[in-house]
Amino acid sequence: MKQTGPSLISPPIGDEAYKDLEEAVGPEFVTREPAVLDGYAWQPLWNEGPEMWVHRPIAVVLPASTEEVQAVVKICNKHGLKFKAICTGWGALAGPRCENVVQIELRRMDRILEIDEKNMFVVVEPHAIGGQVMAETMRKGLHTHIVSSGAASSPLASATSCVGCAPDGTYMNWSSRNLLGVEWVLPDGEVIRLGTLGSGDGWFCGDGPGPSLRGVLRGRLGAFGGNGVFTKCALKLYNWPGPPEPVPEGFLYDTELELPPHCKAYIMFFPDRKSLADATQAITVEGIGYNAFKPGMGSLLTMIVPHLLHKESWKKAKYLKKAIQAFNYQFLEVLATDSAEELEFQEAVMRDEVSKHGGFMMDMEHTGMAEMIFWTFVLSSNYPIFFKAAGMFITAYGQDESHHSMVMASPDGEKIKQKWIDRGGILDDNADSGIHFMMEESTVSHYEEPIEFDHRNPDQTRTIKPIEMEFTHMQAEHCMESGITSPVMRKMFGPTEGFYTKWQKGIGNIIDPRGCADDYLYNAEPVEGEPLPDDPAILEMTEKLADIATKMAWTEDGPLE
Amino acid sequence: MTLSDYERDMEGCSRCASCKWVPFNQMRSWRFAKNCPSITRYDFHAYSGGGRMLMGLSMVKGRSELTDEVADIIYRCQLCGACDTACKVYRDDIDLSEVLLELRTTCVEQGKLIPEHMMVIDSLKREGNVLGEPKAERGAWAHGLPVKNINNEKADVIFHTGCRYSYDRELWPTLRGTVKLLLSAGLDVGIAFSEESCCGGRAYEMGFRGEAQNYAEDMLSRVKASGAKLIVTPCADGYAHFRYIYPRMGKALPVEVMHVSEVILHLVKEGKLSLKNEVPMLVTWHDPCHLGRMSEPYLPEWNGDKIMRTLDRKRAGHNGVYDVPRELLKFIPGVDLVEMERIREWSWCCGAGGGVYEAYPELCTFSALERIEEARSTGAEAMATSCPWCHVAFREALAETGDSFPVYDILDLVQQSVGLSPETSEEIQGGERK
Repeated sequence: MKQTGPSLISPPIGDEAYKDLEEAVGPEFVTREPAVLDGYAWQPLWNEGPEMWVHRPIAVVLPASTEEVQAVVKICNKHGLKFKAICTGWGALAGPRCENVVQIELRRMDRILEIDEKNMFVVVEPHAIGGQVMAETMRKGLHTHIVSSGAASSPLASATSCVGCAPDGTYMNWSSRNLLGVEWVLPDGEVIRLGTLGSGDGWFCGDGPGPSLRGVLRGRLGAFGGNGVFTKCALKLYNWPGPPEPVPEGFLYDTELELPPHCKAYIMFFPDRKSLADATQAITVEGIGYNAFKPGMGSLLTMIVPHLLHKESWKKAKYLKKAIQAFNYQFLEVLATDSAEELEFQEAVMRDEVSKHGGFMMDMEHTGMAEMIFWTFVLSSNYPIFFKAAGMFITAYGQDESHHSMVMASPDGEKIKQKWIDRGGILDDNADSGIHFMMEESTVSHYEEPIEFDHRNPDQTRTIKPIEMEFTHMQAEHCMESGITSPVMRKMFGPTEGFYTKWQKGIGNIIDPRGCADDYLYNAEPVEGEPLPDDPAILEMTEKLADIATKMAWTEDGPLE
Repeated sequence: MTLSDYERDMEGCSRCASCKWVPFNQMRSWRFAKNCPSITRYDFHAYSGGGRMLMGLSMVKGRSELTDEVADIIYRCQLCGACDTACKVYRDDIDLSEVLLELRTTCVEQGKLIPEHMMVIDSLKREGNVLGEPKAERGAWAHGLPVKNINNEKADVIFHTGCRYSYDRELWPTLRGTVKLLLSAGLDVGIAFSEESCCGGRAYEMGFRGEAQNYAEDMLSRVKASGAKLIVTPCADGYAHFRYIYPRMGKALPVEVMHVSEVILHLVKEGKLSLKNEVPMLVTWHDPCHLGRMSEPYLPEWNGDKIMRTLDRKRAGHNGVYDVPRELLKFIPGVDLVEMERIREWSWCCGAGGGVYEAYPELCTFSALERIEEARSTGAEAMATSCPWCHVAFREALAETGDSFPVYDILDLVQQSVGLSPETSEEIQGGERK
């Protein structure tokens, strides 16, 4: 598990192992060419830096079938190598996180195997991306949840391995809840089929009859590739009342296509945070909305006027900033309904709740932005725009708790963010850009604080880890779940959360007896004596976190008094 | 500029994968969602626009070296620009196409040459064309046409034929008919006959900048000497290179450059050409990369942080020629246009560009057949285009597989509608003898 220096380059793969990989998938589908491997090692997104490289894989293989994935995994077991699967590669979570990793690139497994209209599910391979799945399912009047990394990302990867929420959660919930039957290559190379698939009854249920191991498979956040390779899965589909082939003109802000019948986009504003939380929860509980989203005004600025935020005049624009902040308690609702009556009902409920909580709402057709908002959300085509203003972003908090606790916790996040803006470490987006969206029928809200920075600027990359640590500290103080992917932090906080790490590791030992999966982000043990980053801000925060963890720790028999 | 000058662009890659797909608003099916022939064929990330940038970054950072395998990957790319267009939906600070060009130059500078490209360069040096044909025969296609020789006569319009049209006899009827149309509309047209040379753009794309400079200078001096006011070319490659690569090399031509389809449309609108005959046909239009996104005029380098670059200084493919051929098709009675999924800025490449036609025929055929399948999926009876290299890529791919699907140059359809019968090879040979 040790790192191999700043460039994170492992020793080359042995010839015998390489030959085995060539035999398994064909020589043209394996490479160990350093420059090609570095295409998998450059992972600036979700990389807390300061280096934007992760470990360079020792080889990349391109299997075309479940059998070939099995063969590759077994070769890794035979030669004592680690492996990690990658789909579209959105973020450092997809890259190797330790040395001696064979990266299994799943691009050749990209089919949509079945769309079951009657039972409303789609069966996909790993590299069928969201945009493709949407295009095919919308033709049949159906839609699928797409994680908020957008149309380029893999619905299978999100559903099986990594978090998975988005503004469409108000209607289509989140990735974990949409997972049905799964085909899973375990870290020892064996295949297991879950749910109805495991009992030969098709894909329609993930919980049986047949083995139900969904909790083991991904837990809440996902194992980030640490539990093996998922080669096929079925995902729930939902009603799509719009046209079968929506093809707008334009790419993003130039989008032009009439709203479908009975579809709308609304923006609503509230006088304060509490009203926002109360009203939006009430609206969502009523089952209103197809996409729903609390944007930050800062986020909108980064998208629409990115240059402004870099200007000296913006820093001094005190009253402009205040004016913009006044509109921060806002909420976007995208409505897509089957009938005039349904649309009328949804609008009436919204109007009633907004009014009851002192807000006002505006049909976005009056702003000229309805089409753009509607289609870029419905087609999930907008998310990479977060790279525009500064080159890179990371989001802090990124947690899911009750809607009110998340909305009301936002000010603390904004304070942290403002502190680092004042220090010049990140882009000044007015620090009001906390975003929320809901899932689980509004019982859960997701909150992220986007932090925009230029990953090519060392002064800015140096700030990211300390910022993340401050947010982690805040999470701990708010008793929020940690979502921690570092072994050191997991060890620290495992005892505060029922020793989950112990159970997680126990399962890992059973399904991965030779320790071949790259499970650094999931259940790897910290290396004894591994030095902490030599940064006073990080060291200070680590000590604070350790203190909190100690106070909150349980014994193995239960919580401390 | 060198590869290192684009280090910030390369480091800018967030690995979001947008470069591999048509812009997401335009994604209509699973089947035709991909935009890049190279990664679609070879699958490793290094074959995508982003992956190529990361190979470049790895080398610039000293983490890896330019090996034969890396050079081979760099060359297996049509430089079609689809990745650049897709990337720029979201980014202002990355010029992906520029990085790809710099990678080619780096290969040449470090001696990573491939024999097929060397043959092209040798041909350019010896004969002034990329096809290895005799320079003396460059103007043979025009024998018998009442067209001026700009080497000794003044003409308002220089007709730059381009290498492929000049030597590909199957394209000569199209070419001769087009010149007849221009002359019949009253244009004062001259050509350089055997003195015409390649525009040099293909050399530039292959990484041989010195050669490209020579041809640009040659063209520049010829244009200056001619006193012409306008250059018209039927070669989409040449058109793109005059508009983009020449100014990039500091050799901007001092006259207006038009693709012949633009001129024809202008003449039709002015009533100087009458498209009167029915051409009953359901066609689909293939946007050539070099007529479309790659023909967008050059914009000077942005000084400073590209994050602050204004949109009018961002070359994102929107200012290519897309509407002209579609409008022209609408003027032809009987022609109905049905669009493919991948069109305009997000069009799929025919496969011939960037030296791939010469060096990697299998990749070229793969790309062309993919496009033909997409054309067929529309229900069209034929595909129309307006680039000789696209035409040849489709023609040869179909011949290789024994398949058939009609592919027309839009100029053929125009000539049919005007009522101009294509010359037979005997008639053309007769003209040559005269």
